[in-house]
Amino acid sequence: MSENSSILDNIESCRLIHRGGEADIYLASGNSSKFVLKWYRNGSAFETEVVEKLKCIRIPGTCRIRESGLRDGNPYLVYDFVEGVSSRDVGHIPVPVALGLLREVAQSLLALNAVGVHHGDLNPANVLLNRNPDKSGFPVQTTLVDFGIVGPGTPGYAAPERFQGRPASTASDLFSLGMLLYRWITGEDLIQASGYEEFQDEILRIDSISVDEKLYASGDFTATEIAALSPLWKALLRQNAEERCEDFDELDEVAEIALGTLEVGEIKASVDAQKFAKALENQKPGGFPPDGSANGLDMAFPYEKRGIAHPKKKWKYMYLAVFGLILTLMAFFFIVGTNSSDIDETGNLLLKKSRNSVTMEPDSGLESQDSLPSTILKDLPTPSLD
Amino acid sequence: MATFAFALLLAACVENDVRRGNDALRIGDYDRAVTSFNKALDADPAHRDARYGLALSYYAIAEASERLRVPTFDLWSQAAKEFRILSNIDSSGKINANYSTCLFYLARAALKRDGSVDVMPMLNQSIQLDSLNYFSYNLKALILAKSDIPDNLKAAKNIYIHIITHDPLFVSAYINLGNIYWDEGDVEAAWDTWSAGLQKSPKNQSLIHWTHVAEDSLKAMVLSGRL
Repeated sequence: MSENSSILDNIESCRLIHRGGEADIYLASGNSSKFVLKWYRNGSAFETEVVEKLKCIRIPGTCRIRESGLRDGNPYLVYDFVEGVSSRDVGHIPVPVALGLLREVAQSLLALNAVGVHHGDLNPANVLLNRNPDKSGFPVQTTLVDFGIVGPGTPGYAAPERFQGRPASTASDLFSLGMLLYRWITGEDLIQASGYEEFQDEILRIDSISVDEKLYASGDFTATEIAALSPLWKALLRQNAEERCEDFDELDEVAEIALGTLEVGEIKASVDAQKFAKALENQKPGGFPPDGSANGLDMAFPYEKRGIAHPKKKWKYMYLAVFGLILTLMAFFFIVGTNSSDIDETGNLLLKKSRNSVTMEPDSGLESQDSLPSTILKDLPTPSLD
Repeated sequence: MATFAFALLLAACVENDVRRGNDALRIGDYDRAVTSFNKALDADPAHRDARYGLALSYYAIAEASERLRVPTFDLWSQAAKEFRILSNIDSSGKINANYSTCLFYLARAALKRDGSVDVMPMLNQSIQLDSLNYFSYNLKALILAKSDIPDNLKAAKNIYIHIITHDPLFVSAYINLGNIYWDEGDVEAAWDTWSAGLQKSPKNQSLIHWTHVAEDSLKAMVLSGRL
């Protein structure tokens, strides 16, 4: 996209709604559309290769990147604004529904993996939930946002290797999915710490944490549910990445087995999911990113807008210009087109007139050896005379 | 946009002047034609049609003066100057025949004014511009024929033969070629040439006269035993 047609220059309002570690998030609107502007700070940047891939393809269940680039020396990304309820705000989710959501997210991650992209920051705020308009599919539609993260991601959800500076991978996303599943079914984070270092310590000893015991201790889950979920924790929440399940296909199988183990019946599971989906509609719609204006964050443009005419005015001028051009051309062709000068034809007529009147006059012979006498020249046949 | 519209309107005005000039030229109003084409050229000096129109206007004025038998050198010089400028902006070849004829007239006018002037480069350019301009060939051969240099006389003969071959109705070439033979004493060749011309133009008084003279000479030569 050229600089002159940048979405940034057509933004009419821009509001800072979240200040993150590596970037600020703005809710922007312009041209009757809403966008999310991710404005990187402190030398942070997105992975150009990843972003370019994502701009060229549309992956179901993911938020589209509309534009990327540098403005005023800062990298930025512009996403579509996605209506939906953040999974951070839905509290505790019934286990069968949570497993259904897990499988939906896994499918989107699988598609991202197919183009060599990993999410890098799976956490409840980055999964938006909507009622699925497609009646034949899972009643709740999930949308992943803010993917392709370079940094370690959200501390309470990042895989151990991410704290060691390793890039996002299928295995790290699988780990985060395990943490996410726990949050969904319990309504609280598995790891609760007060700082980055503490999160790191807790995550690194994940193998020693018994999720089954925690669930049992909460008293909110049946033995069947705890038993059904147990293989998932073993497949996801492992300190060693190699001990996690291999990929999202395998995770899907494990989740499917867990759903079968729950013995809730297909119809009841579907009814529960539909109830959950319906409840989503009653919640105040949020979106990506969650509206943070209530926190008193500033309303400001993080960049300097370039002097580009308002789109509507621009179109108005364009129409006027085209109309004027058409009128001028009509006048031009009226004056000129219907009255062709055709000077070449006149030239041919003059030449023909000259050369068609050739006659011979008596040659009186040469009279001088120095020059041609005027009598000869006078009598010399010419194109036009006589 | 405004600049573009202004440019279009200006172009429309120029075209209008050219059209007016052309109309004036066609009905013989040469002075008005010159004025219109000059006006167009003031707005657009490289306007090809306006420049061609101006050159043709000067050409027409000069040619009209030829009929009045008045000195035309300056007029043809002016026309040739316009054609020369025009040749810088039009390499299509469409103007070549008129430019070539203009140069022939200019060469002839120059010789009329000063018989010793060298117009050969001008005639060569004229022939180069239009190889069918036999008027320039004819004048070139006349100039060569008056020379004492044998090669030039031979070249003049070849030019006349070239003209007769390509344009058998160009009668002057028969007369002038016959003259060369007559001056050389080759009465038989002179008679052959003039009589060939007479066949093409039976009413041409010069050819009638000179053919008779040659016939009489041939008869006298036979009777005297010289032939």
